[in-house]
Amino acid sequence: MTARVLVVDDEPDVLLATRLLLQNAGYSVLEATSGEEALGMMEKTELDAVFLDLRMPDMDGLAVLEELGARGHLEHVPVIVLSAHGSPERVERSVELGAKAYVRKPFRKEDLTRALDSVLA
Amino acid sequence: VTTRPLETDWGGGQAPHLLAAIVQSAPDAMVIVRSDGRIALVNRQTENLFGYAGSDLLGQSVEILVPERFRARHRQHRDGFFVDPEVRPMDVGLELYGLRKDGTEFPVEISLSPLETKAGVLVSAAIRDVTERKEAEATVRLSEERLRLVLETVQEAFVAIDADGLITDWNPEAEATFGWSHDEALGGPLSEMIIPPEYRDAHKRGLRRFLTTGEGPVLGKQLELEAIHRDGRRLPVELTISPVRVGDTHFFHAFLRDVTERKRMEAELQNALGMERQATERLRELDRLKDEFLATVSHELRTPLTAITAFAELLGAGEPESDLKAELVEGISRNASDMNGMIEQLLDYSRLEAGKVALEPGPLSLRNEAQHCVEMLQDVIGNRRAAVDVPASVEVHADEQGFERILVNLLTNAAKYSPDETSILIGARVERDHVLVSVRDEGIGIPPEEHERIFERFYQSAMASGKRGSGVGLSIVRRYVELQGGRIWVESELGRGSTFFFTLPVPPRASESSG
Repeated sequence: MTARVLVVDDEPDVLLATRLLLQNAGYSVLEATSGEEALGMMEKTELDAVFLDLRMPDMDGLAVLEELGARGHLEHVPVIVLSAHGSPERVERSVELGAKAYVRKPFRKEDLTRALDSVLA
Repeated sequence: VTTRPLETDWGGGQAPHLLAAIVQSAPDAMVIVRSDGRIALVNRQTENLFGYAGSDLLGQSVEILVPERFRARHRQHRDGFFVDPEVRPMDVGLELYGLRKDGTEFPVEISLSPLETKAGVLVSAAIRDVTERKEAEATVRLSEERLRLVLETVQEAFVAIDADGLITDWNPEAEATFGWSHDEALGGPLSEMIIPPEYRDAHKRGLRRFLTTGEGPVLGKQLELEAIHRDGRRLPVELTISPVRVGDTHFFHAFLRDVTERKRMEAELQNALGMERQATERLRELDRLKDEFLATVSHELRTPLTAITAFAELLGAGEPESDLKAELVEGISRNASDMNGMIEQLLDYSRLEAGKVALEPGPLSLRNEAQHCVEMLQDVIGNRRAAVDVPASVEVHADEQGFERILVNLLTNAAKYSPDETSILIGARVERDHVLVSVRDEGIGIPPEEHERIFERFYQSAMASGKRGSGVGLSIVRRYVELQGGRIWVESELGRGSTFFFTLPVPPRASESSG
C-alpha cells in the first residue's frame, strides 16, 4: 500500500518540487501552505508522515510541532522537518519538540526517501 | 563656735558691739573703712580671703588690699564716695581685683555702703571672691566662642528660627547659600526668605502643630527639599531640623546643604549609565539582527536553490509531460532570477559597507529614469498600476546606477507590500536646491514606531512577516540617498499605504558644470 505523506511549506515552488520528487518516488502526497492548514488536515486525514518547513509566516514549524505534541499526534505520525539551515538552534528545538528527522534544503529525491524510510521503518 | 573679740581700730572709742557682731557674722569679707581711707574693722572672712591677721590690717590704708596698679584710681574713687555716699556696687563693668598678703591677686565683687557713726562717716565694703564665677564665665565664653567658630567655618548653612518662624541665627555658609547677609536675614521670617511660596503654608502649619501638640514628623530626620535663593533660583537642599527648648522658649535649628551639584552629578551619572545601557542594548540588538540576517540570507538563497535543484533532478530523471516540463524550466529560470536579485542586493550591501561604491553624479532626467525602473520591474509590479507623475523638465544631480538602486528597491517594496490592483505613484517636486521625490503605495502601511528603524540594516519590519527579503534593502536605499547628498524618510498610515520621500540635489548651473 502506498504511504501517504503531507508536505507543509509556504513557498509554492518548494512545495511543488517536494511533491513532485515524492510522487516520483511513489508516494501519495497531500499539500498544505500554512501551519493552520496542516493542523486542519491532520485532524481529518490518516497520514503516514509529514514534511514540515520550519520557517513559515504566522504559525511557523515549531509552533505546529508544539500544537501537534499538545494534541498527541506526534505519537502516531512521524514529522520530518525541512530546514534551510539558517538557524541550527531551531532544528535542535524541533527535535526536542518531537520531530523524528530533518532534511536540509536544498535536497534531492534520495534525501527525502531516506528520511522517510528511517521514520517509517 | 567661740567668738573672739574683734580687732578694731575705731579711731577713738570702742566699736559698737552690735555692729561688730554683724560684721563678724556676714558671709562675705567685710572691711570697714574710715573717711581717711584707713581700715577700722575687718572680719574673719577678710582675714581668710586676704591672708592677713586682722591686727595687721587695722589702721592700714585700705589700698593695702588693692593691687599696686589700681591704687591711685582707687584712692580717687574712695574720696569721691565719701563726698556722695550711697549704697552701690563698686565700679559696675570694671574688673576688680583683690591683693593677698602673699602678693597674689584674685577677682572680686565689692558692694559699698555708707555707715553713719558718732565718729563720722564710715564705709562698709562687702568683698566677694568671684574667682570661680569668673572661671565659669570664661568657660562659657570659650565654649560660646568655639561654637561661633564652628558655625562660621562649617561647610553647611546653619539657620535657627524662633517659635514665630523668625530667623535668630544665620551663619556665613547660609549667607553664601541663600544670598541674604546675616544682618538682612536676622529677625526676618524664614518662610519668606528661603521657602518657595508653594511650601510656605505647610511650613507654618508644621510649626504651629509642633508648638501645640509637640508632634513634628519632619524633625530630626534628613530631608530633601527645594529652597529658594534670594535671586529667585530654586535649589535642592538636604537638611535636618532639630527643635531646641530653652526655658519656655522654642527654637528650631537646621543644618542645610545645597545639593545642586550632587544632583547634577547624579543626573549626569544616570545619563551616562543610561547611554551606556542603550549602547550595549543597541550592540546586542545589532548582534541579534546580524544572526537573524544570516539566517534570512541562508533561507532566502536556499529556498530558490531548493526549487532549482529539485526541478533539475525531475527534468533529468524521467520524461515529464511537456506541460510540466515547461513549468519546471520556467521555475528554474524564475528562481535563478530571484537568487540573482538577492545576491546583487547582498553584494551591493557589502560594497556600500566597505565604502567601495564609486558614484559619478551627473544630470539625470528624473522622468526617464523613473519610467525605466518601472519597465524593468514589470514582473514585480504585476497588475498594480504604476504611474510616473514627473514633469519632463525635472533633473537631479545623481549617479545613474545609484539612482536606479534607490528607485528599484523602493518600487519593489511598494509592490511587495501592496495588494493586487492598487496604485503606485512616483512624484517629484523641485524645492530650491533639491528635488523631492516620492514613491506612494496603497499597501499595508508601516506602524509609526518603525518609521526610523526600517532604514537600519538587518531590521525587518513586523509587517514583513512571510515576505521574502534580506532586511538590508532600505538600509541600502538610505546609503545611496545619503551618499548623493540627500535625505530619506517615510510617512505612512497602517492599512492605507506608505509614501517614501527622498531628496537629491538639482544639477549645478550650466556655467558651473561646464567649468
